[in-house]
Amino acid sequence: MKYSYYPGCAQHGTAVDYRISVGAVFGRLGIDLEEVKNWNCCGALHVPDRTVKTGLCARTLASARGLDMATPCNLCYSNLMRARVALQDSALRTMVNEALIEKYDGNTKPKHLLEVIVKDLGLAKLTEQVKRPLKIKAVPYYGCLLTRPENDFDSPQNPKSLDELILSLGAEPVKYYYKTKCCGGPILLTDEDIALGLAKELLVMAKETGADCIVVTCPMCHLQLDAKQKAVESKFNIRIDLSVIYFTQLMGLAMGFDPKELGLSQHLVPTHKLIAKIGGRQ
Amino acid sequence: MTENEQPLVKEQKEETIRKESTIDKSAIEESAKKGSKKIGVYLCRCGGNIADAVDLQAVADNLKEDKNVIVNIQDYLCSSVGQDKIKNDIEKGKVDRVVIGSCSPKLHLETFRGMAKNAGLNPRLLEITNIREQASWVHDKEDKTGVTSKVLGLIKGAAARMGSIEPLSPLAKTLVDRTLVIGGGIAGITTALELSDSHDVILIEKKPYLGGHMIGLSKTFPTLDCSQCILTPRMVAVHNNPRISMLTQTQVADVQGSPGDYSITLKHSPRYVDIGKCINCGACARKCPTGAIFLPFAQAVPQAYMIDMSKCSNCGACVKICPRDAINLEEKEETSAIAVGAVAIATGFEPIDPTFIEEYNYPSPNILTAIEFEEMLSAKSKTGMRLQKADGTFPNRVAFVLCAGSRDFTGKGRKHCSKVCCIYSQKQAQLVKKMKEDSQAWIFYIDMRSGGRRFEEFYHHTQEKGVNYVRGKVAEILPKSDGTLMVQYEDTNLGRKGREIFDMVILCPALIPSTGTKEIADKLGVSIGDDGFIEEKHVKLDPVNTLNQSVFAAGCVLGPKDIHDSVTEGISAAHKVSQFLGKGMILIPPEKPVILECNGCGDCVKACPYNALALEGGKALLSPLACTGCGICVPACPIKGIEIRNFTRDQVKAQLQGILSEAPGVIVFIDPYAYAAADIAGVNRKQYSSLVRLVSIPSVHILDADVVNAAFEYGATGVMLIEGITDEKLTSRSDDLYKKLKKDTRKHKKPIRYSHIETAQYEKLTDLLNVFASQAGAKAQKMSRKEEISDKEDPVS
Amino acid sequence: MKKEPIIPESRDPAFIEQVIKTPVGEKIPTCMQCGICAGSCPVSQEMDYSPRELVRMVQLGLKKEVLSSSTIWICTTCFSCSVRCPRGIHPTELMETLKPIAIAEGIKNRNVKFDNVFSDVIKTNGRASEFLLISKYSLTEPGMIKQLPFGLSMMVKGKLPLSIQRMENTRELEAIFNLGEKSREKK
Repeated sequence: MKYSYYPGCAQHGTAVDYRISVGAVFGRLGIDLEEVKNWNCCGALHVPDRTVKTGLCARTLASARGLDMATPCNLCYSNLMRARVALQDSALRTMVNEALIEKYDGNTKPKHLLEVIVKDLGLAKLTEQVKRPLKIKAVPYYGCLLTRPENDFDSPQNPKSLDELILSLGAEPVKYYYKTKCCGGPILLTDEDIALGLAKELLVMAKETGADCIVVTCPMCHLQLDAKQKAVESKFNIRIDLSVIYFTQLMGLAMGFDPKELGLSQHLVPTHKLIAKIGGRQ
Repeated sequence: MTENEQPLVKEQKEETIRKESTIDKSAIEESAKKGSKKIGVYLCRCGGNIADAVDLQAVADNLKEDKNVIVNIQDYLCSSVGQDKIKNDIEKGKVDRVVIGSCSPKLHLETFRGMAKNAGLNPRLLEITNIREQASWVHDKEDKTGVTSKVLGLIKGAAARMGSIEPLSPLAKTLVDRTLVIGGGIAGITTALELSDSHDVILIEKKPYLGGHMIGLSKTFPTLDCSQCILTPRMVAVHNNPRISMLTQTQVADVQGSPGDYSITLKHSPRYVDIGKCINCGACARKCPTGAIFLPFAQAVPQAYMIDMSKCSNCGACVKICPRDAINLEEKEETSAIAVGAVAIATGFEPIDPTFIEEYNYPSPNILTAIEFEEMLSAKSKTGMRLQKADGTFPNRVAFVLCAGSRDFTGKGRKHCSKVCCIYSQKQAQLVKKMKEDSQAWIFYIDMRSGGRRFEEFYHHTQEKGVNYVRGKVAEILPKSDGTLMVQYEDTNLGRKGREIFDMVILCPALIPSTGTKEIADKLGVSIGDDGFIEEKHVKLDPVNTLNQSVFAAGCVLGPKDIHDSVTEGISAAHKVSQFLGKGMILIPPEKPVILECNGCGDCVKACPYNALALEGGKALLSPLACTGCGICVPACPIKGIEIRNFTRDQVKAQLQGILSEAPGVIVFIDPYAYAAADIAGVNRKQYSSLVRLVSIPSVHILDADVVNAAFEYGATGVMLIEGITDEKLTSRSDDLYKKLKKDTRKHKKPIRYSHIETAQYEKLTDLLNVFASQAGAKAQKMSRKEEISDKEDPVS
Repeated sequence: MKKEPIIPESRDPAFIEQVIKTPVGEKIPTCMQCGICAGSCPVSQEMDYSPRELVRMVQLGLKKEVLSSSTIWICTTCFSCSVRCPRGIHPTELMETLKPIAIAEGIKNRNVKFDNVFSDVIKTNGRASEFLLISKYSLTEPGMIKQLPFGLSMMVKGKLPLSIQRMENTRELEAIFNLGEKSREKK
């Protein structure tokens, strides 16, 4: 299995831990992620002009070299998917292509890494690699942009793929009605109070399920729920203390990797209790 | 076929009709030559509806050049002034054939033919050319020249064909005086009971008992009387009525025959208990170790036990104990055949499954549909008619969520308003308050619709009872770990978001046609709308008739409605059925095949899907009553010895020549079912190219290369066949027809297409017409350029 | 809050045209004000006008109120309203449509500032370096200083590298950033 790989900006910043775990896990599974050369930002949520954003994504999509394009970030995934849909309009594609050196033919299919595992690899294959079934309860948290506005991967408000992945690793996905609610990430820098309020609700409800950790698929969600967890605690005077880990880290733990090989020591909310429960070393 | 047209003889014997169908060719020619053929063309301005888009004076001036044609323009031809003008002209002998240019013949053909008959003219010598729904309403307003030229062509074509129309009279067939009512809900029960005074009825019901949704209701609005109390007497009346055969667990498997004389196969699923023998003693249920044998509910009609085979261990204890020997565990699905003259469809509705509304998290404990709420408090209750939560306690706080899946234009839900939810949710809220005074009931609504007698008062009364109303569509329902439900919404009157905790949430789901409505409609040759409900013959004026004269409908299969309206429609349908059966016979259009020459090869016999042709004495012979007039025998005959009367090759060709005499265009042959779709497109003002010329024919299967080639020779830039009939006996052959036509007309190198369009798919129709018109136009341009080039390159020859 | 009566002068028909003509604007006239958007919005309580009210204001052409509303900037782009709207109106996409119009009309607030900083970083760098973003944004937004301890804690974990990720050649991006202007000219 081979994909062109679009890591997105966070992989070299706030999501280094994610990057480490992706490298470890996908390497072991024999899935080849060939990083796109000289890639650019997808435009995230802060390039206000849709056409510009579509142009930024078109440049990325054009560099896929005929492969499906895998990406680890919900935001990048959503932007690439929306650009793909928008660029089916040939007039827009022609206009955008005028700005590009390498032209986009309209055919690249973006895939989130979770989709690569669940749909392309298949959970049965993943289960074969499980060395240490995880006897824990985990909150499946998808965030907004993995499934919205819409795509053919999973349902917009009640997706199941991450639940199934957690299950296939021997862990129990808890019922979490907040699985696709907003974490507040996009407005963290401009309206922090509001953003933290959103994160608080997710964290409180996750805590209420009695789960051992929250599993995420997106660097921005991770930033909000892990890195900002302390800020939430102090702002609202509550105690959460809930590990937030990437789904690739969860996979890695089940596949028998050492927690350090998965970047688990780089979280702001300590992960040692979770790791101890699983029986891994740290 | 209309009441205006009486058959020549009241009871025609089959042989007489047969004889008539084998007249020789000269007779047709003879009839065509008879008379002076003064054709009157009458054009309707329809206020400005037609005149604004078409230069009718120019059309008239052009037509007048033909000495055999007189032309007249009226403001409203359908008015008595307009009709009198035509009538006078006929009576004074000024005209003996009439072509009208007006709205769709579906609206006024009967009106005008009735007038013609009164004036002493055979009604078939009057035809309508549709220049409103299929011209003035559907083309670019700026393109008046194009539309005018199209209309002129259409009228010329109609006049050309009218010149040789035979003054045929309809055939008559005896009706079977028995009606099948499909569906044992309140609409079907009412229809059956009302009919049973004077007619035999077979009432079938899919479920093991009568009563439909109504027997699953608690109290009924706005008077709060108990549903089963008012319904049970009617169900018993059906059961005891000697003229009604009531068959439960029964569905329609197959329909054969034609209007007025159907042979229908019914499918009965096994109950394992003989209804006639069971005396309801309950001995079997007491003996059954698995609880598989049971009475559906105490008041069920028929009063008989039944077995759920998924629970049965096949021990045979019930068989042994039954004192009446009523139980047979070996019972299998059976079929039976019935003959009926009319059918009333009353198959009702079902609630949409709200699972697709992900934000409502249905199904979850204590999130119910309103139907489930009703059943809990009805005769069918499994909780002893107690309202209770999953844990058995009473819900102190109940929310009602309206429009769950209704008024949704995203394609996920349904567009229509389900009509009854506003009122029944208020009734349910009242019941909650009545059961426990200090309980809370909240209704979340978008628009509180309580039109009509007694309903606004009911709304007011519910408000007085202390029910809380919130204007805002519920955004999400989140189950909480303690079993309560968090409802999030915006109070749009205040512009503020709100969150409330409830013990129970009732979703008021969109009401949709019950599963199988389309299959029934297809079998009976009636149309359904894009909402899935049965289409009425006329939305306002013929609300319980369908486009099939012997099929009627009542109740929620025509759209969501309350009990009062369902009963009203049941009574109406019964009246309409009775009126139909009361005539004793059915008139059949006389546009049937006529066998002009026969070499006895039998190809037509093999081709006929309805067994209407047979070889007798080495010659093909038609049974006109079995014949549907589909015309598939016409192209099947190798010696072109068969024609459809009034749609002969020569007549259709004459029409095509007229249509294309003004300007080239795209010829679209269209059958009556798809024609209805084109009319709906017109009513909705869906625009398409004025190059499109629709030619109405009884069926696309009458066509052969002879006619299509003629169309091309007269200047058609493309030919399209549009079929709307859903009868598989015909549609399964359409592909072959298309391929053969394409092959046999390819010398013209012009495009030909076939499409199937159901009546509801009018948007698809106009899309197709536009695409094809532009393709045909482009191809024509390309060809003419090529010709120019080849002309230039070919100076030597 | 004082509310001015709506008078003919409040309405701008050209603005209605401008928005309705966009791909997301087409369905705006069919809004039935059910409020599921505002009820679904995780942040509607923070907005001066809820998404439902914003759609209504677009219907009426209340240009000034629409473009100066906090609504379009507080929106987190979670698409909850878009997937739930029974009329198929996509309020999230509407916010996206209104943002560049507001910027073109000269609306200024901290969100616009951040978007400008973000766009500049991408235009010159090709990639979004958190460090660069935060430091540049802090220059215009002094309140950011209180984020310093958080930034340090991220740095300790290696999550806020000072080494800045760059693309090799960003000239192509200039052409891409000109697309916005170009698409507006076309209309």
